This record gives sequence, structure tokens and C-alpha cells, in this order.
Amino acid sequence: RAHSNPFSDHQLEYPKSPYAMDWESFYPGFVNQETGKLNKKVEIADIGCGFGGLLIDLSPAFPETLILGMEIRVQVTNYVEDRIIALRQQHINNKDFFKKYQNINVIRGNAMKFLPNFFQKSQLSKIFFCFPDPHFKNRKHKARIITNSLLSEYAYVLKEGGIIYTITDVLDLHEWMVKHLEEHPLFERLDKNWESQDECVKIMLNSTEEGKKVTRNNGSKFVACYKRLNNP
Amino acid sequence: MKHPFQIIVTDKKGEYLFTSVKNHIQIFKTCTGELVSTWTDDVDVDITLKQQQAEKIKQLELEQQQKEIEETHEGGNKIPKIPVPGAGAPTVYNYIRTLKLSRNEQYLIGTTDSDKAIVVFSLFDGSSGDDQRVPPALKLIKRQPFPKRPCTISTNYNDEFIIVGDKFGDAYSLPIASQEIIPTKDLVPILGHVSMLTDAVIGISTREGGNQKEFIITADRDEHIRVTNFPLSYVIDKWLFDHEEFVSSLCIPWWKPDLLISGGGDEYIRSWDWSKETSNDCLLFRFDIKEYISKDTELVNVVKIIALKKNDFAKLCVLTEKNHSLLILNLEESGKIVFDQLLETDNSIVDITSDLTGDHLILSFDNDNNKLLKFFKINAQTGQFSNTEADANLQDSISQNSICDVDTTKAFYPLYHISQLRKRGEH
Repeated sequence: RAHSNPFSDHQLEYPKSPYAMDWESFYPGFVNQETGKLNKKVEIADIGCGFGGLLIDLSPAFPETLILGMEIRVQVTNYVEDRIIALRQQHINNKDFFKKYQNINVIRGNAMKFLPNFFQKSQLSKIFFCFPDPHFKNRKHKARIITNSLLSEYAYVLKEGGIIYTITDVLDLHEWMVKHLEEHPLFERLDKNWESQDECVKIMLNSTEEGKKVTRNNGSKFVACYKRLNNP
Repeated sequence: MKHPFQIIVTDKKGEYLFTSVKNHIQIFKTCTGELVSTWTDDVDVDITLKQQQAEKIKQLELEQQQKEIEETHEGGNKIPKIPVPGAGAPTVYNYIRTLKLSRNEQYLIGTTDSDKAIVVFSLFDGSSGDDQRVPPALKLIKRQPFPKRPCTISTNYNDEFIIVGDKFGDAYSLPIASQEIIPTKDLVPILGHVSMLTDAVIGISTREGGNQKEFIITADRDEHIRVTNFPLSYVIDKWLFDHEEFVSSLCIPWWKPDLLISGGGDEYIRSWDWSKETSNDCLLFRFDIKEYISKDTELVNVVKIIALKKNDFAKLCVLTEKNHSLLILNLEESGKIVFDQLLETDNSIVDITSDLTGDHLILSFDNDNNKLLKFFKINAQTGQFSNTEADANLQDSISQNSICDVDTTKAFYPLYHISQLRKRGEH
């Protein structure tokens, strides 16, 4: 199915706290052989990662950074998992690419409810929201991924100076996201000049499956990026 | 037969008992049992639906007018009906679900079901003179409706604001004394959970350089306890992680502001040093209450936790749903919790309250024999609870003075709803 109700009591698995999360099994290529532990934390999150296009393009762009996709739909999550396993397999014997695709993974989860169960305060440097569910009906607006109250949670998991990336082909949703980010005291918009020079914006415009579909249909893509300001 | 008290609240000195029964609020004087003030919510249960109907009619009329301007075409406009719930649909009740005294005890705040509103009462209106002790009287100063049903009430430290949490997970802050009614569509939440809010308390941290800093601590159905700055509520301080089921009750002992006690749908009561720097260091102690819960309840559903103190005896009272006993625990200085005693009762306990002196621990019961309350005192030497003959008379007279009579226990309003917070899987 294309949509999922973020408010329902899904049979979700999520860690009791960020400290209880077993990240080692997600990024085996980055596990320190001596300690058996990861010596870094996830720093980039793709919320509602869909079929994983963004993750796969971000992986070589940030080879030393751990990247996690979150997706609420089970089948889609399974698909991305298989895709990452396959990519890792293809590169496992190539010495030059030992760590290729070892820095990305996906997890099934409801980010609107349980994001703080996965990430500690100020852990992330980038959060992506690519082509989120527009929830057109007025009474469904609370189900949108960008709301005033959820932005406070994103601000909590983002470090100061961290960035929220948003892209959508729905003008109404774009305006909604901009309005709420503008209203939030902890975020400040990055200008068009910055956007044109940022590597992630380039990747975000062209890598996701949704983005490619929009391109095929000659649709518009609306981008807005915001910097996490310091706490007052 | 008298209807049980759904909610009981006493003031700091234990002089008055504020109660809710169905859609009535009543105030009793605890030393005589006399009923000193009452208020009845007479707003129609269907008010929200009627308002929606009126709006729709207005909208249709407008559309009709426009149509007539465009062309003189006959429109088939019907007056919209008020929807009638089908068989098996949950009943809509009209009762007071929450009662809270402001810290200065000048205001009583309740929530009503009928119009999803909070009702604010000024208790000593026009009698601020201290010469004579005037009994509190319920004078309604504000009835503020909300878009979703409010379910938890709290006031900030200096009683400037009322903090309201609702079933949709949002919390609002409203000036307590202002009589202005804000249209529901203009209300802006100060924070939100993507889950039903179950409790909200205001905490004061003195940790950072002796400055008193206010935080709002909120609990929800998704095991979360969140600590947020107040009034800068867009800055989240931390989450307190450890619960594995819904959290239903938060309690900060009045003598120990850095300590938080929490309970809900799992087998443990937890104590936290909530203002510590990192959330991983906050959990102080888990206390397993399962073995003290009577056999007829499979699952633990904590309704309420209160803290009381007499001399050096620091106690926690833990009320679990549909239980014939109240669990009394000792709260040590370190936050450690130790079993003290089980207060066995003849009937299932609906609500508990206590004052700051430790001289009044009051229990309200679900029964049909007009014995709706029981009073306990802590013995200052032994720390044990006792109920005296004099107390028994007071209990009876308060019960007798309650104005809400029903014919059968079937007419009781639902007294137990905490267990419904437990999640039911979708598949």
C-alpha cells in the first residue's frame, strides 16, 4: 500500500532507548574488530526513505558517515534491505571498495512516534524528508511529517548547525513545510545560493524514485533547506 | 443510592474536599462533612454536534444564496441531520474528568466532556480579606473549549498559566486569570506528542547555578516521558526512557522537586532524577509492584501515584485499577522505593488524595452502600496509617450530603478507563 497511518498502534519494533539500539548489526563493515563496537554513530537520517534511492546515492558521497533510512511500510523496508544486501555483496570482494554500501542501512519504524528512541540528543547532522505523504485533507494535516511539535523533536536529535532537507512536488505541501519551519524558532532557511552549491541538494533532486517519476512527468520539484540554530 | 465520587482532591491543609460526581462538582468541609458549594455542568451532550449542524446549515445557506445569484435554479438543499450513534456505539458521557487546584488554591480547574472544555472556578472571589475564613465557593470564571478532549490539567509554578493536555497529544498553555475565550481554531499548542497525553506536571530544577528553571514533563500512551523547557517549549530537554507500556501517572513529591515517580501499564514504578544532564543517568530505581496487586487483575494498570510526608516518613501511595487495596511504599532519600504496607479495603478504590500535613489520606470507593469515602492518618511515631471512629462519622456525612443519587449501580458512570490505554495490535 502507498500510505500508512502514523497514529495507529502498529506492531512496531523499536529500541527502548537510543542506548539500547544494536547498531553493530546494521553497519558490520564499520565495527571495530578489537572492541566489537562501532566507533561512530549514525549522522544522517532519511525519514520515509521509500525505495532507498537517496541512501544509495548518499553512500559514496559520504563514505565515512553512517546513514540510516526509516520507512513505515513493511514491504518497502524489506525491498530496501534486499537492495542494500545485494549491493554489499557485489562489492565485497573488491578490495578498493571494501566498505562500499556498508555505511547505509534501513529500519522499519514510525519516525513521528519513535524518532527519539533511535537517536540521542544532537546526534544527527542531516535529516532528509523527500517527497513525504502530502495528506491533502485538512483534517489529516496533523499526520504530515512537518508540524510545529515534530520540528521540536527534529531539533532535539539534530546538532546545532545541522540541516533539514525537504523536497516535494506538491506546492501546497511545500508551502506548509516552509510555513512551519519559518515559524519554528530553532530553524533558519538556507538561501538559493547555498542550495545550488550543496552536494546533498543535487543528490536529493535526482536520486529518489519519487523524484525520477516527477522528472519523467515534467513535474516541478520544490526544495527548502533549514539550518538548526543554537538553543537560546 | 449515592453515586461514587469519580475524583477527589483536597487542599494543602486538608480543610476541604473537592469532588466530582457525574457532571457535578461539590466542595465539602472535611471537619464537619458539610457541603459548602456545588456546580453542575448542564451543557447538552450534543452541543458539539449541534454546533456542527448549525455551521453546516449556514454554509449551505450561503451556497444556496450564491447559486441563486448565478442562476435561478432549484437546489435540493436538505437540512443536515444530527448523526445518531448506531447500536453498540460508545455512549457519550457528560462528566467532569479532571479536577485540579491551582498551587495557590485560588482556582479550581476541571475538564468537561460535553463541549471538550476546561472550566475555571475562582474559589474565593471577592473575599480576599483574611479576617474571616470564608469557605470556597465555585464561581465559574471561564469555560474554554478545545478542539480535542482535554484530559490532563496542571498549573505552572507561579500559577500564571494553566497547562492543558489533550487526547490528541497536544498541550496548551493559557493564562489562568484571563476571562477571554479563545476560538478553538486559534488555539496553538505549545508542544505535541504523536500519542495520547496521559499526564503533565511542572517541574522545577535548581541544578543549574541555583537558578530555578521550569520544565513541563509530559507522559503518553507510547511509553514516553518527555521533559521540555517551559515556557520555551520548543526546546526539548530529554526523554526519560525505561517504560515498556503506557505511562499514566507522574508525581513529583512536594518536598523533593528533582525526583519524579512514574507508573502506568507495566509492572514497575520508577523513580527518576529527571533534571540530570543526560537522559541515560536519570533512572534511579525500579520497584516491582506486580506481587502486591490482587489476583483478580491480570495486568497492572496504575491509576494514580501520590506522595505524602509526615515527619521523616516519606510515602508513596500507588492506586491500581479495580483493586481492593492501596499500595503504600516508603520513599528513601536516594529515590529507592521499599514496600511498606497494603491498605486493604472492602470495595474497589476509585481515587485517592492527600494533603501536605499527612493528616488526610482520603480514598473514594465504588460501592452501592453509601460509604463512598475513607479517611486515614499517618501515625507520627510509627508511620502507619489508621482510620478512627471520628473519621467514620465524617465519611458518612460527606457521603450523605452528596447530591448525586442513582437508582442502580448500572447508572454509575464508567469509573475505570486506565486499562483501555493498553495498546491493541492492529493485526
